[in-house]
Amino acid sequence: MTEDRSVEQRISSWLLDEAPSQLPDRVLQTTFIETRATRQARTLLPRRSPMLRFSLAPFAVGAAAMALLAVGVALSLRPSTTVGPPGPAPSVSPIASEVASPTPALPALSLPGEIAPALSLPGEVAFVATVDGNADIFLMNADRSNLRRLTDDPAEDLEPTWSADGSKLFFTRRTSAGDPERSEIHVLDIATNVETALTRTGERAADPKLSPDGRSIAYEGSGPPGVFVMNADGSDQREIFTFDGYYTLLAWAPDGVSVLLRRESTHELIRVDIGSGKATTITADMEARLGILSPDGSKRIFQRSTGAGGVWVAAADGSSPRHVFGDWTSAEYPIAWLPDGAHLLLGQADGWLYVIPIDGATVTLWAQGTSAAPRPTR
Amino acid sequence: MGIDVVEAAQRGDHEAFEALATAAGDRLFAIACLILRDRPRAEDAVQDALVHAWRELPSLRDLGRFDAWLRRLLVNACADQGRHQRRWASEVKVIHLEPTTEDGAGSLADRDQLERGFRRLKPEQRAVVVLHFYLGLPVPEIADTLGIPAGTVKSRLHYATSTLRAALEADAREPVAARGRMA
Repeated sequence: MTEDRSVEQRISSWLLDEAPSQLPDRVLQTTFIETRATRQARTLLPRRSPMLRFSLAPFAVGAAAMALLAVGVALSLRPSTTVGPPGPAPSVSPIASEVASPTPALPALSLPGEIAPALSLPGEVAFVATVDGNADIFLMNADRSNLRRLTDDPAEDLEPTWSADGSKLFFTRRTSAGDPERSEIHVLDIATNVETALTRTGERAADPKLSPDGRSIAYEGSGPPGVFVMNADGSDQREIFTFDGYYTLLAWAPDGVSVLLRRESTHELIRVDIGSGKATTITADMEARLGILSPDGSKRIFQRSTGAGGVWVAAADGSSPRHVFGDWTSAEYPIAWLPDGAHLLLGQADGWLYVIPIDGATVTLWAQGTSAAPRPTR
Repeated sequence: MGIDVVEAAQRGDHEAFEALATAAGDRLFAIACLILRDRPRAEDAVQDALVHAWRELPSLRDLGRFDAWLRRLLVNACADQGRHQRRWASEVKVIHLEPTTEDGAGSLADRDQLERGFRRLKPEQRAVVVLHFYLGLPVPEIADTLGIPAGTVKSRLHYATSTLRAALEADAREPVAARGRMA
């Protein structure tokens, strides 16, 4: 290994070296036989002149300019938020020696969770793992025993989230990751093993987030792209906020009447009121108050987008914040409380889930996967 | 290739389209091979993309974006190829064209580790890596090419690079000779 070359340079060099130089002639010949036998679509659309294009799309031009400006501002203010080759991965460095290996290589057909001794942790956790090249949802005890497969579909099953009583699991089933992306939100009844599609958009409905009272689901939808809300049974689907740029739906706010988004061009946190659709930018000092509440309601965990970054724990009212782990500021990783209220499950870019006690004393590999969702026990 | 050729192809001129396809073929094949890591499926993806391009060319409004549009069709075709074979991750064939020297593009250790890391990525993540690190496209242009948010491009790049970095840093758990490198 050449130590003094950057990872990006090594990737570029490897790709250049691996790329074939010539498409076999027979492929083009076969293609042309097919195209000569194929009629073009009849919808020859009128092309727009540059002047007409400008006049027809002032909002698009403006949005593009704003996006470029925002990227420029972000670059100038936050060098770690790079456009281009990304910076180093978020570190698991605080006690790196206690993490056996950031990416142990499981055999290709292994189920997740087979690589470490059991932990003394109560409760169950749903999570996404890729087995045989396809993402499905699994359920495993927090102590890494009793691994079960919950979904088994050729599509990708992603983003599990539990009903408040732990009897149902909401998730995204993605049938196409290309353009356009196609996905729908489903719900699985754990007792009966019956799956039900809650959306039938034919487009993209993804990333369900259950409201604190368990009655509503917020999700990202299409037509036009934005945040939608529906009842937990799939009824009354409505758009509450239309994206004017690139956003990610993060969570419900603790008040239960608003949701939190991240504006990707600036990494700003935005709160959107469900009733009015009004969007408000959240300042960094509010992150603690909007964190994920612990099972006993006494503490919150959150990720800091400024300063030292990483995962923090605070009292339920956001006071007394204390750093737990990590140093990233430009990323948001999946994180959840384990049912004991003393440990967290953190997803990382290496495709592994880590158990972290809130005292930050040790970090332990949990399983290969992402999007951990501890099952509520009430 | 000029816009007039694209316009002629759009209006049904087969020779104009074949000139465009011939000019783009090698580059499209390289991209598909890098994403799919499998020559036969890369050939299928290029063919699918070109046939799709011919059929849908009348719907292309901005002829100046022909190259980006064609790249998007190819990436989608690669994604379709990836979905058609669910077990691709474990059955993928390694493409190895020519032996490299230590003073060339990278060490054999790098190649093995990158290959292993790359196999863990999904087609859409591989596509972003190839467009960025092979074609040298910046994030906004990749977002425009793929029709996805720049934030998604960045997160895919970040994840993919982290995975490849981890692969480079990880200790090999099996001897190189056992990995079945194919010529």
